[in-house]
Amino acid sequence: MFIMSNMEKEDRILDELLSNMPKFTDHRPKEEVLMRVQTELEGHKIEDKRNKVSGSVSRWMPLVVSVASVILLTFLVSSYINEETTMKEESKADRSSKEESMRSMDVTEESVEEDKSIETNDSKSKEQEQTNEMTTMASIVESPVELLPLNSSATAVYGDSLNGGTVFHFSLVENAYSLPVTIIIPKEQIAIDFPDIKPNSLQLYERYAEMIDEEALGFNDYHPYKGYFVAEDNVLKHYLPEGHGYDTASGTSIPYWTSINEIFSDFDWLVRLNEDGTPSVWDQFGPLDEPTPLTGVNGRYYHKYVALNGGTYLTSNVNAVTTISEAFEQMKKRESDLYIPVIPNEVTYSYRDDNGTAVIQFDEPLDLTTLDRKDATLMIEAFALTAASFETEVKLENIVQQQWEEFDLTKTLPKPLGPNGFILQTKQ
Amino acid sequence: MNDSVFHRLYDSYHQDVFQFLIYLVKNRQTAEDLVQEVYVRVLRAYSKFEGKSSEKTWLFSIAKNVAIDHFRKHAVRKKRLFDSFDWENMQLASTDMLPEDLVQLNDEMKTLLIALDECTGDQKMVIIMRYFQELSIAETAQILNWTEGKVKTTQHRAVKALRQRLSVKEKEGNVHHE
Repeated sequence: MFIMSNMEKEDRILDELLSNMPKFTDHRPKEEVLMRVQTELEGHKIEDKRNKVSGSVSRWMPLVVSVASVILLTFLVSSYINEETTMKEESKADRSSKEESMRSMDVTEESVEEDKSIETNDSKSKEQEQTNEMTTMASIVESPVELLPLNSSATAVYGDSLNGGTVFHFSLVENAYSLPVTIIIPKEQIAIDFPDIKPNSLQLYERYAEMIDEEALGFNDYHPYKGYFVAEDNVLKHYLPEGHGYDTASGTSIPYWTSINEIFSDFDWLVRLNEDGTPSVWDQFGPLDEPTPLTGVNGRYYHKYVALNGGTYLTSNVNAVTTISEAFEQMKKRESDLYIPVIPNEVTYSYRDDNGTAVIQFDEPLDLTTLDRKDATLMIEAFALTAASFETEVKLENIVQQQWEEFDLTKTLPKPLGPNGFILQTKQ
Repeated sequence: MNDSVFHRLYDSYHQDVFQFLIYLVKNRQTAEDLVQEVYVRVLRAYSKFEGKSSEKTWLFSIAKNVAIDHFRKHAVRKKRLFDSFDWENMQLASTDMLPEDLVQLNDEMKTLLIALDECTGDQKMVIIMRYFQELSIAETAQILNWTEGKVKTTQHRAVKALRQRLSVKEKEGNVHHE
C-alpha cells in the first residue's frame, strides 16, 4: 500500500495553493493607460530633443561656468577690498565666493542629487553626473522652441496669417491671471509631429506646452498642468495628483479654470478626478461629482492688459455676458486696474445688427491718427475679437481713415481666430 | 507612437503583465505605474525588436527589468546599494497589499505571499512566472535569459524554500494559538 510521505503531502498542498492564486486585473480603461503612456512618451521625446539641442551647449558649459566663476570671484574680491576689510576676512571671502560659485553649479533635480550622494566614490559615475548636470543646466537654458511675434502690425491671429499652419490656443499666467495667447504651429512642424492626424487641443497641448519657455516670455512657469488628461469624446478628464494646489484659493483656481477654458476650446465638459478615478474634492467647491461645462471664450469682451514684462496684450474678462450688445457696451467700462478699455473715454458709439453682421457706428468721425498707433490697432482688433466670441463679424463705421495698417475699414473686419498671436519656431 | 502596437500588446498581454507586476510589488498603484513604464520602454524600443524571441517573452523580459529597476531604486534609497544590488540573491520584498486586493486572498495565500517575499529574488521570480503566470520552462528561461536547467533548479529550490517557510509559519501559528 502506498503511503504518502509528509513531504509529498506538503508538496501537493503547496502545489495546489500556488496553482490557485487569484488573478489580479488592472481595472483602468485601456484609453486611460494609452493616454498615460502617450504622455510619458511625449515627455521622453521632449527630453530627447532637449538633450540633442543641449549637446553642443553642454560641451561649452564647463568653460562658461569656469569663466563665470572667475568673474564672480573677481567681483566679490574687489568689492571686499573696496570695503577695506582685513586680509584675513578677504581670504575667508575668497573661500566663500568659491563655495558660492560651486553652489551656483548645483542642479536642483532631486535624482541628480540622489545619484550624487550615492556614487561619491565612483569616478566614472561622477563623470556621468557632471555630464548630467551640464545637460540639465543646458536644458534649463535652452528650450527647443521659441515663440516669435507675428510678422504684422496686427496682434491677433487671422485665417490669412496661418499659411497652412495650425492654431494652438494656449495661456500665459502671471499674478494669478491667465492671458490667452494664440500660437501658430507651422504646417511643416505639424507634418513632423502629427503626420497622420489633425490634432485636437489636448494633443497640441501635450505636444507643445512643456516646450514653451514661459519665463523667457516674462510669465510664470505654469504649464504643463499637474496630473494628466484623458479625452473621451467631448469630455476632458483631468486626473489630479494629491496636493495639486489648484483649489487652495481663488488666486489658484481662477487661472486654472480660465486657462483650461482658453486652451481646450474643442471640449464641452471638464471632469476633475483624483488619480484613483474618484471625483476630486476642491476646497472651495466640495466634491466635483458632475462634469463642468467648458464655455471656451464665448460671450467675452476684450480689454487691454499691460503685463509685468511691459508688453501690451488684448484679453477678455473672465465674466462672460449674454448678448453682443452688452459686450460692446462693457468694452468701454473700466472694471479694474488690470483691464484697461481700448476705447478712449470721449469716444462714443452705437451698435446695430445688419443681417447678422455687427455694426459699430461712432457718433463723431473718429480720426485714428489722434490715438497712439498701437492703441488704435488694438481697439480695432478688440471689436473684432469681441464680435468673434459671439460667432460674428463686425464693421466699424464713421472712421476718418479707410485703411488702417492691414485693416480695410470700408469692409467688415476679418474674424480673428484668437488674440495675442505668436509663431512657434523650432530652434536650429 | 504606433498606437496599433500598443493596442495589440494591450489586448494580448496587458492583464498578464499587470498580474506579474502586482505579484512582484504587491501594490496596485505601483503596478499601474510600472506597467505603463513597460509600454513606454517597449514602444521606444519596438523598432529594434528583432523577433528572435516571441513578443510575449520580450514583453515579460522588459517587465522583469522594469520591476528589478523598481526594487533597485528602493534598495538604493534605503541602503545605498547601487552597485551591489544583486536581484537573484537578494530578496525582492515589497510592501503590504492594498486592502481591496487582500480580500481576494485567504489566510494560506497571504502566508504564502509573505513566505515568497522571504525567498531570494530568483526564486520569487520563478514561482510567479511558472505558477501564477503559467509560463513554460522555455518561456521562463527566455525571459530571464537563463538555461532551462537553471529554471528547473531554481524552481525546485524555490518550492523547497517555500515549503520550509510555510512549515515554520504553520508551527509559529500553532504556538500562538495554544
